[in-house]
Amino acid sequence: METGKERLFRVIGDVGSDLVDTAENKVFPRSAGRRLLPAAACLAVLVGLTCLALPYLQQAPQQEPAATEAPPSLEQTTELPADETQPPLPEADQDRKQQNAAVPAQSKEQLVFWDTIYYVEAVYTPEQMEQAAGEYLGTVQAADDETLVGALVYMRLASATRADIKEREVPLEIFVQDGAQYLYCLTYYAPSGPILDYRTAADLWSLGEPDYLASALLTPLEQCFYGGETPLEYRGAGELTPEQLLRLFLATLQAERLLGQRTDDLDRYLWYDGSEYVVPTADIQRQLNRYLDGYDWRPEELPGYRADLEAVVLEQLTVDLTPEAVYVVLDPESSALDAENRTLTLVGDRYQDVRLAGRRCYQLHFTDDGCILEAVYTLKD
Amino acid sequence: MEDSAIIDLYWAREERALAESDAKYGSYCRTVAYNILRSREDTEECVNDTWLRAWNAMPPQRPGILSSFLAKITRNLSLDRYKAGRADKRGGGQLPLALDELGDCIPDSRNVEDVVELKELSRVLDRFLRSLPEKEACVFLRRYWFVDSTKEIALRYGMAEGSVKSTLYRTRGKLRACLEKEGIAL
Repeated sequence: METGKERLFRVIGDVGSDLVDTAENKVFPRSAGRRLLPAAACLAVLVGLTCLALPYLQQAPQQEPAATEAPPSLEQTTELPADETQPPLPEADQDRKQQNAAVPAQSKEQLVFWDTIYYVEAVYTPEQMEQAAGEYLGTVQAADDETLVGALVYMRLASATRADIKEREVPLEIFVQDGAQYLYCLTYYAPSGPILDYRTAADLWSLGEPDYLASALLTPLEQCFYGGETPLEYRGAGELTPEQLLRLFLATLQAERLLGQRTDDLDRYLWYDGSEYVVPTADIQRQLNRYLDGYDWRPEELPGYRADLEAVVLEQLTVDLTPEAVYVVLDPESSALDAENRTLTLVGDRYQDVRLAGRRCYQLHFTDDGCILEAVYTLKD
Repeated sequence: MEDSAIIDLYWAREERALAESDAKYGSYCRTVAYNILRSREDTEECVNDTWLRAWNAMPPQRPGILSSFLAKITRNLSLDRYKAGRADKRGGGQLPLALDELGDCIPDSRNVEDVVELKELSRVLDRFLRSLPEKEACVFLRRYWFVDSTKEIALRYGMAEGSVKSTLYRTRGKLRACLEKEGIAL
């Protein structure tokens, strides 16, 4: 006796031959996001390299015309305008000069992404750095000898003014070329880019890398609440106090840095006045809007609030902790991504000072533009 | 050799038709059979039987798409063999999983009047698949026609495996709704 399922399965075999033929022979183009995944991965590494290089790049003499020219080998193959509006950068101090001397001329990292090994290599000499001021070269090479072999990566910080950065948000462009042939150009909007969107989360999940979510997202979240009487607890963003919201703001900055989506230098450039960080409340709110929904923002209740500046004054934006201080170990078996790849429930053990300090649940809802931290709470034993 | 030439061989009752079919579509049909049977020996027997069935079917038939025509025969033969083999606790692979998933599509029989004829069900299913976006229909067929694993589908169509699973989940829900709307029980 044939069951209903078997009957259905058999009948599926009788659908039109043209449908079967299409399913066999049709080639669908990869989605734009997936096509750019390797490039995005390279980008993440390069942004990391930029973080390393920026302090040295910032030493370039700002008045020299050469400071905005691309290196000679690129001039023929790119049509980039000279960055005449590059903002003045802080003066370098002696310590940095000493560090500069110790910087290797090349830095190479291996990256495995989407079943392909990429070698990403930034190439810069002290002379190039002096001349480039926000530009440097790199290569991306796939170990399969098929993808972007020997491609040249041309990277520049294309920021215009501080106001532009806030309006248009980021300023980083990457050009990948293979000889004289353009492969693609990416414009990277760091502060506006979502920390993770649902596609990335689904990919990480399906690739069996949920630990990445824990290290990139949950641990910074917990670290920013280290030292408080209680860890972060909320089941709706409306429960969060202004103090907690400010810490969450710092946590998301930290997470974005870990994901290579922003740099300390950028934050310093945006908000540092030479002695403190003066962060406009609107900037904090804009950042929070990307991760929270339905919160009650009352900045005037914060100790560092300055009504005359409509800003919150902070001594630092980073969380300076040893890695062992607070971290989360994800329990993949208790975690789940729903069938629509939209709602992710992560369960993990929170360790504080190397001791288990509770089992935690984190509920994230992914939108097309990013992820909303819907709830964070401790699970009862 | 062109498909039309192979079909002509069948119509001319030339045995070379079998060898030409095997040369051109042997591996395709073996893949279809193996996905269901997971046994090389059974697969070979099914594919050999496919050429004989085709020999008996042509003439009078003159298939428009020979590859799909042959693969359909292979699939039906494989399914029959799978059912026989399952009684001996053989088989395995993706088919039990795919069948389980298809359980999501079965409407509640209390909501329908009677079990429909296979032909009517086939007509509804064909129309349903044609109403879907092409990629969604292809993903559905790769899973439930070819019995590919979700990972294989992801690789074939350049998708994340999670996206394949969620697409299948949505399509099964749509199919169930469609069958309920048509008043079809299984």
